[in-house]
Amino acid sequence: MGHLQRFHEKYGKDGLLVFAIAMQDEPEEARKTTKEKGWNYPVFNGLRSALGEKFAYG
Amino acid sequence: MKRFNLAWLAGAVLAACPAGAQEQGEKKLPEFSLKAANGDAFSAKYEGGELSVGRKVKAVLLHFFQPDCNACMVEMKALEGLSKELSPKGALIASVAHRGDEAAVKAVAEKHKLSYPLVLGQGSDLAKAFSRGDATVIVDGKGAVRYSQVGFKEGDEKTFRETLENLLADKAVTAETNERRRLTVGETFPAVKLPSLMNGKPMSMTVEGGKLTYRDESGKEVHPKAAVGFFSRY
Repeated sequence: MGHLQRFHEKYGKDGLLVFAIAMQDEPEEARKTTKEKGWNYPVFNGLRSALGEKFAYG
Repeated sequence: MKRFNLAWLAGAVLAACPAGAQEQGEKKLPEFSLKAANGDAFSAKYEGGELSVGRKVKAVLLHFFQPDCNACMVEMKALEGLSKELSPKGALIASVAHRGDEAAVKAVAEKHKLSYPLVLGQGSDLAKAFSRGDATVIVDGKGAVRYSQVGFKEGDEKTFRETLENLLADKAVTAETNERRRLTVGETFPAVKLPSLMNGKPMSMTVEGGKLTYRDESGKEVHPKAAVGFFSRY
């Protein structure tokens, strides 16, 4: 996510949208980490979503 | 962030998607010689075409995991129960760490009180051939892959049980390989309509009128030239 933050900072102004879909079991922990790290691209909450079921693994 | 498990790309080629085990061209379990976390040898070889993993076996389930993967831990707790149930009937169930050293694997066994074999597989040819997507692979007594899937969700253990029981009873395997999808070049980007992780407000990423469209929590709409997204556990 740190690498993608740099992508976001470098190419966002040129029209690249970086986003994440969080599959974290504890969303509060993910929110805290996102704030602490300063990641400011969009993060969806994908926990138990149909999209996650279909495409995410691990 | 511990890892990301699927890279998405729309509009430009910037990232690659991992493939499931069944896509890697390997349909037969190779011979291997590894070590379990408890120090025991864990190896597979063929004798007269019959698979032997310490003993002759008719049904083997190998699960490839990473010590910091939440879904892997859920699966391993399920496999612990399945191993206690089916090992006495002749099935062999093991989890192979494709990342993480001996200490990390031992810590997993202790934390989750796992007694079935956990195998040190980091860097091994076996892991390279099968592990992507934290795959679970079931092979028969001749080493042929009869079922595989990437990832795990609660309830999948029913499919594992049925497949193993069928192999033990010399019955046909009826379960179809459960493959998580990945996007391919030329496919339309799937609509993402989910709440923001940060504040719970709805956000979306869709394709509207042929344009990639992102709406943030305030409803502001932008049309990025390209997007890269990924599923992530922290």
